[in-house]
Amino acid sequence: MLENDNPTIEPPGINPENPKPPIEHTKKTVTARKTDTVDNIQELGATEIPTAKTNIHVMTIIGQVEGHMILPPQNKTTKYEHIMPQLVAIEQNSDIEGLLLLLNTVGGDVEAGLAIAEMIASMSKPSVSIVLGGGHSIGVPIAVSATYSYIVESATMTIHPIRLTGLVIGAPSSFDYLEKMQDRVNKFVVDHSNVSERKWKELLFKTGELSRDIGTSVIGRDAVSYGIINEIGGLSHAQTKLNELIKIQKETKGLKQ
Amino acid sequence: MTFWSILPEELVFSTNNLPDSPPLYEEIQCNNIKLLVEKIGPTQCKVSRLLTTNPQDYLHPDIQPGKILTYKPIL
Repeated sequence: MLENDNPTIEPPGINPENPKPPIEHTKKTVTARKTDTVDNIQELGATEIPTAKTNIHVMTIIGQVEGHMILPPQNKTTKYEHIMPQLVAIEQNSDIEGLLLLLNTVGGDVEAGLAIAEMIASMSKPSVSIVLGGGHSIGVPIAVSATYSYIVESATMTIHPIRLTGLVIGAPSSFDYLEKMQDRVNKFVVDHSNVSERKWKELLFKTGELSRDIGTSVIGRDAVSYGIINEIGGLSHAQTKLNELIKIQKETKGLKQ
Repeated sequence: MTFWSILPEELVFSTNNLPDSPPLYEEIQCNNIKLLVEKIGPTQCKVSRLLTTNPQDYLHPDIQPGKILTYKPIL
């Protein structure tokens, strides 16, 4: 605190005749911090104070899922070459106990998306996903790949078929090829969520709801009632659920040993 | 690659209306944290995105998105 000649603009709570106490206060915290660092150097040999550790890591899947091709710069993308090694690291690191997945994606490369979804689904550590804003197209398999999935009430998921005009690099997109691709996606979603194959296909091929395409735009609560997503909820729900899953995981591990 | 998105293809793959010199992005490692930075000069860059899964890394004041970093030679 600097000395102030004009007591009328002195901040409240400070005696204008004795402005020293705040100075002493700052000095104290500085010395306290210094001793902390000194202790650290002496005890741990480290110059940096260890920062807060977290047992839950977070992964955001935003914009387009980018795979084999770099998309033009106007696109905001999540690259699978970033995501995949991160997932491996999360699986290997013993300090990390759970994964929180934040989704707001418009779709993208089917194979890259499926690869990410399969990686998350095959992890031994529990994962919880939250669909925020939108989880469209390939975002749906990624959302259901987590151990438990949440969607916020305002979020939407567009369920529509891989288009006949879908771009298949290197080969003309035959109907057969796309149908097989579609089947892989369908199987993944049906296997990893509570939606029935019949309901899923009904949503996929519904006409009259989307202007450009066939398919359905499913809003938060509907996604839960159809069984695609487990529950409505946001960050605190996901965090609580993840801690619960971690606890269960620890208990079952303890029994096995 | 099979493209499956709600965005129309012509919007995603269009190369029209692009700026003459699009920003040059680079991935760098800073304090063991991977960053996506925009190069703004031969020795400076601006943090654009953090490529880490540790939520605590996002609280680090020195690497907040928008911060200007200066490259220094390692001796």
